[in-house]
Amino acid sequence: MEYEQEEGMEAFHDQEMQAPTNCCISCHSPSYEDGYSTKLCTECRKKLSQYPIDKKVKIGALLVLAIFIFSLTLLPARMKLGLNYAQALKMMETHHYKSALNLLEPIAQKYSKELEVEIAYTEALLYSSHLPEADSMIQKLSKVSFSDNGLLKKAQQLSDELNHYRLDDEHVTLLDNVEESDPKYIKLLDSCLAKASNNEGLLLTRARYALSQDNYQEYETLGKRLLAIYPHHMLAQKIVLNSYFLQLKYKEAAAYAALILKDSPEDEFAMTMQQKIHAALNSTDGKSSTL
Amino acid sequence: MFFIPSILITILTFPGVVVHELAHQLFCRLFGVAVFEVKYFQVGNPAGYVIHEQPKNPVHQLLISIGPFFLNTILGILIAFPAILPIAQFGEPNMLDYLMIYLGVSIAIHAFPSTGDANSIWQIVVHGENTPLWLKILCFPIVVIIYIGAIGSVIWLDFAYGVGVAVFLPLWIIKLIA
Repeated sequence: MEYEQEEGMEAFHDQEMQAPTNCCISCHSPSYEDGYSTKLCTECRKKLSQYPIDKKVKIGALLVLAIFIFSLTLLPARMKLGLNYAQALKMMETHHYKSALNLLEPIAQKYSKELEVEIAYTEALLYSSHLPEADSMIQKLSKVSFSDNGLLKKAQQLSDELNHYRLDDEHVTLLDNVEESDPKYIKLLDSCLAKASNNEGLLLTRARYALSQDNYQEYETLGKRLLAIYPHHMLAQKIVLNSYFLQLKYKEAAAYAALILKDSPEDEFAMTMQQKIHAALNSTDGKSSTL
Repeated sequence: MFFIPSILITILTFPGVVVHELAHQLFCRLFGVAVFEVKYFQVGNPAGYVIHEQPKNPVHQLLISIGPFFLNTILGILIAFPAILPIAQFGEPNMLDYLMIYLGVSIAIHAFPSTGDANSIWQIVVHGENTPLWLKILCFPIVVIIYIGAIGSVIWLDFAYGVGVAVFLPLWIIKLIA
């Protein structure tokens, strides 16, 4: 709050009353500056404008200044970090998981105990196909107690999502006991599939086996079967795309790669396949690409 | 519902009062305006004041009156800005960050000019004989806004302003840029 002289300063009013009217109210010298309602000579005005600042206030002001300078030194790094985090979350909304992951990696390292960051990082890992890393993050999160129901729900969703890419434990134990080259392996795998026909892990293993046997037709069928059960299965999408390419169905492959990239614009596999398809189409030089 | 007396808020946010009065004083010093008394903080109403002569130039009067608004606002934002981000975005509690937020909010809360400041502008700038018309036109809405702010302080508008600029503005800026 500020007051004009008229509203306060009784002492000066008293001085003014006692002093002759045409002189400086402070030093009573006959010369005073014109144009001001308070009659003060130049010297007195200058002196009064330099009204001393209390020592305690000076110390306090220096402390505030020090905090202000400290705050300014923190500002660029923290603003960059905050901005990167906000941008990463925005990128994930548009499925740019790879870019989001690049931004989230240093933040997740710095704030490794912050659940929201951890979950965002896990999501970016999962959807940019870093499945082992996502798995270890889910393991880490499973040991944490959540107080926020929204975060718990999100962590649960990610865990469920990751389960699509896992083989059940009992099947792992069974299949681990047999070599893949052993004819018993495929029989065992098929018998497991007969019991659990919609088991995604088993279907993936079966598709991988078909690929190893160069049975691209079956490879494609299994990929599509997986997609019928779970339409957003990332690996199944890649299986179908790869199967089209391996069967030289370039037009279908190109269309399917474009479809994947529409949903996940930074899908590395789809981008690589797109390049391969273009190269293959160029090399066929106008011949029919669909066999 | 409980009632917190405004004097308690003023005591808790005293750094803002000191900065506000210091800003008035520094603007007086800048324009060579004689200062007769300064009270940086007191428990009472007003919590602080600066008694100075009537400046010759009405623009100086305007700047002396509204100077603390800009100084307190800018200082409050810049002190709290880097501290609020790790707490709001990453939930990482840090004593120094809390101190910076407290200081930033305290300073920003006292950014709003008082009715005394508004009265000064009204008397000298709006009613002044030598005041140019453009300045009178410019000052009229300023005085109205200050009065609204002063009336609004009953419903904690000054508190909301301080928290708004020091806490929510940084987050909004980050969201906007991202």
